Amino acid sequence: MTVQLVGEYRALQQMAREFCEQEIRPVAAARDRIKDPAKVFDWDLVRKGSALGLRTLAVPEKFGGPGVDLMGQALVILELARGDGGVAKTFSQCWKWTPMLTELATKEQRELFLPKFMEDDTYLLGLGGTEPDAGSDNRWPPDDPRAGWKTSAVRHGDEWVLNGMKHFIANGGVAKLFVIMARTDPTVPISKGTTMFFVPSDTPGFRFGRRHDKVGWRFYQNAELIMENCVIPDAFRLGEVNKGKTQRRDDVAGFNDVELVANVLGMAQAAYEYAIEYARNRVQGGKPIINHQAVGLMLADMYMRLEAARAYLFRVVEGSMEQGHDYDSASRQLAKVFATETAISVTQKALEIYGGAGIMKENPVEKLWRDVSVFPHLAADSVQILRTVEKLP
Amino acid sequence: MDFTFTDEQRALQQLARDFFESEVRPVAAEYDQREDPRDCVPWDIIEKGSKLGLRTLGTPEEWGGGGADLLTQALVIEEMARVDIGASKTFSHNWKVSSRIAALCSEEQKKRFLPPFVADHRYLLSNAVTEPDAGSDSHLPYDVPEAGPRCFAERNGKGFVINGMKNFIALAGVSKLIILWARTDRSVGITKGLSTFIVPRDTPGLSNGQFHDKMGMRLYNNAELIFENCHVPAENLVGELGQAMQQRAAVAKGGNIELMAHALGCARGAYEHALDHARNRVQGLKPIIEHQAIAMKLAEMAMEVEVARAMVWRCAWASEHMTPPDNRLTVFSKVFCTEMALRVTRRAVEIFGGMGVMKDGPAEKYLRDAAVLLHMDATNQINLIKVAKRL
Repeated sequence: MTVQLVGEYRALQQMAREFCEQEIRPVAAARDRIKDPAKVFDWDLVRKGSALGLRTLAVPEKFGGPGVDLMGQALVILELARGDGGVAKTFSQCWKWTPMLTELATKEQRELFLPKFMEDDTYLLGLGGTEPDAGSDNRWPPDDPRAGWKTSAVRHGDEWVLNGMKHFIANGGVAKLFVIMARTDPTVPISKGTTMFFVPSDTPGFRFGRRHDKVGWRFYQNAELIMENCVIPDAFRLGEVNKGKTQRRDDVAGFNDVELVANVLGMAQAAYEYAIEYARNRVQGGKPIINHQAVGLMLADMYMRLEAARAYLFRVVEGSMEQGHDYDSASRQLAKVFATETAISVTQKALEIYGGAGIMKENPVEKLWRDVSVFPHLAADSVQILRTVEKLP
Repeated sequence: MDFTFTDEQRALQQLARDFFESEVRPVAAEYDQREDPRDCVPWDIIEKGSKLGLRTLGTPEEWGGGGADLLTQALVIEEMARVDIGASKTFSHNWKVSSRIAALCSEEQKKRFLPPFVADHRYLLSNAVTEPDAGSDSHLPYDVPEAGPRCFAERNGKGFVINGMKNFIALAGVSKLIILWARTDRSVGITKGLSTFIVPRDTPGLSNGQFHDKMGMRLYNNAELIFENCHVPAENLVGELGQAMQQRAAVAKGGNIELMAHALGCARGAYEHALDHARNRVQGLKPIIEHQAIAMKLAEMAMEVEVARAMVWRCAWASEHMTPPDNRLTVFSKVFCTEMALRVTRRAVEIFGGMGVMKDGPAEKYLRDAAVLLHMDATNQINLIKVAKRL
């Protein structure tokens, strides 16, 4: 394995690091503490990041973007999440759905939406899948019409009428374009009866419901999407009817796993850095606490786990880049489970090293601990594990 | 060991359960989410609970308190903490501090300080040790002149003048009486140079610094205390000069059953919510408890809660029946119960899936609350280091 940070990668990493230090870190803690979840979001930060190309990082060169590959994306997320995991995810959520616009969309759809995405520095992307009664069922669908999303799309000539409600939707409340997963055949399981639609957020009949108030990762917006007789032209249908679950949609192999792994490890790295700095400066028992075995052992353990998880991340990046969608998916999917456990362990130890000060909001580690606590349910760890069982070597 | 409960113990358990279900559960989340920690103090709950005897349950009977033994206290705390750990600790902290006053103070001091405490439903007590540069040093203890609390009480005629500050002090923003640990001799370590004083809230020169903004246990107030030329009469010195560490050891021999019981209650509360959710939430066309992945988590949580309860009860029993008490047990239990609470509350969040991290679901608050327990009564690392010497 040859992971060399040469040329462009180094420059990208440096750019993201500077954005983290100069723009994210100075505001992240104060933003996190705002009570109203909608007000945590900072458009100014989005505009500044957009100006650096962070929002459109994944747009291929042939469409006028920088076309940063998976390795570059992982490096940028690691750095941004060191400042705030929610800010990093706000940007990378756009990368996640970029292939919808550039690869899966028709030429007409691409020409309609892509220029807006490229030019409007507040144009964010999202996808609506989850509903109150359809969580894990969407990821590990029982082969039964009763399970999974219920939001419906009914065809009337050249139009579709969408009705239903999505919740916990990422970039909900702030994105200008969503891909909505809707049931177009309720008599069959979602794997056979789902169609995808582009739905601009200003479409009549489409609105945002509640903004969700989360324990951590609060910068990253989640909201309800409500569709009441929301009429969409057939021209906005993405892909074929009833093929929404089966056609390939993430053309960047490995992205979904790498994105989350890099994010949670970026946050864990920050917790480690704060903890070791604190341990070198905090004196109890007549010496810096890092020189007490109890604390020294914890820091070495944190570093060891971070190193292991980072090595795993880069193995998945390299495997995905070399073998594409053929890359051994058990090892790819389990990386997120491992990284989440790593980050929970590391941030908890950081909390303990800070002692009583750790739980105080004036110090940085409690936020990182809360932020990381959001991770086990993302992409549903237990479902991820179960799905890999039959793929185990 | 016999854990057949008396009618009185059962009645108190029921009283705590009913009061916390009807008065605390409906409002705890709203208090928790208030931005300013000053607004998180649940005065209404404190007053109502006090009228039922919850503020003074552990205060000795001869002074008008409930005189509950440690096992009874543990039963009541478990019921309270399963609803809200912060409101629970706001009551039980007074049991601990008033018992210390009863154990350590002279008759004259007790007569001066305990009756007003018992009579006033808004009268809360603090015990001030920690300072920014004196955390683990006070627990180890690191017994050199340069280490430990710096807050200083200087002889001045018949009394003392106190200067210095304390931080992270429980109930310090709202209490009316403070047991203060102050340095009275800078030339020796804290085992010889630390003394105990009683300082009423209205003493000139005593004020609050910031109210600490905590991640969890937000209904339990913590604040800084600032002493600026604060005059305290000699009559407020507790016992002999330089004896604070010895006094603390004398009253702490039962260990921190209060803290363990809070960890137990917090974990049980999260477990009960998770069990209820798993029985009602349908994915894969059946309640998720029927999926092995979820069922095993719940079984493990129930097991951990049971083990913790056995430890708490055994410690409570031992503190009153074993002579001398095995004070390793209480350390083992403190470490186990607090870590157990974090594991169980983490599992509860997982079982709730996406709803687990939402503030309108019940799970995330338990996780934040449990995380606060780790460092209380010394970090678990310090506890283990200390107990290792007694293996």
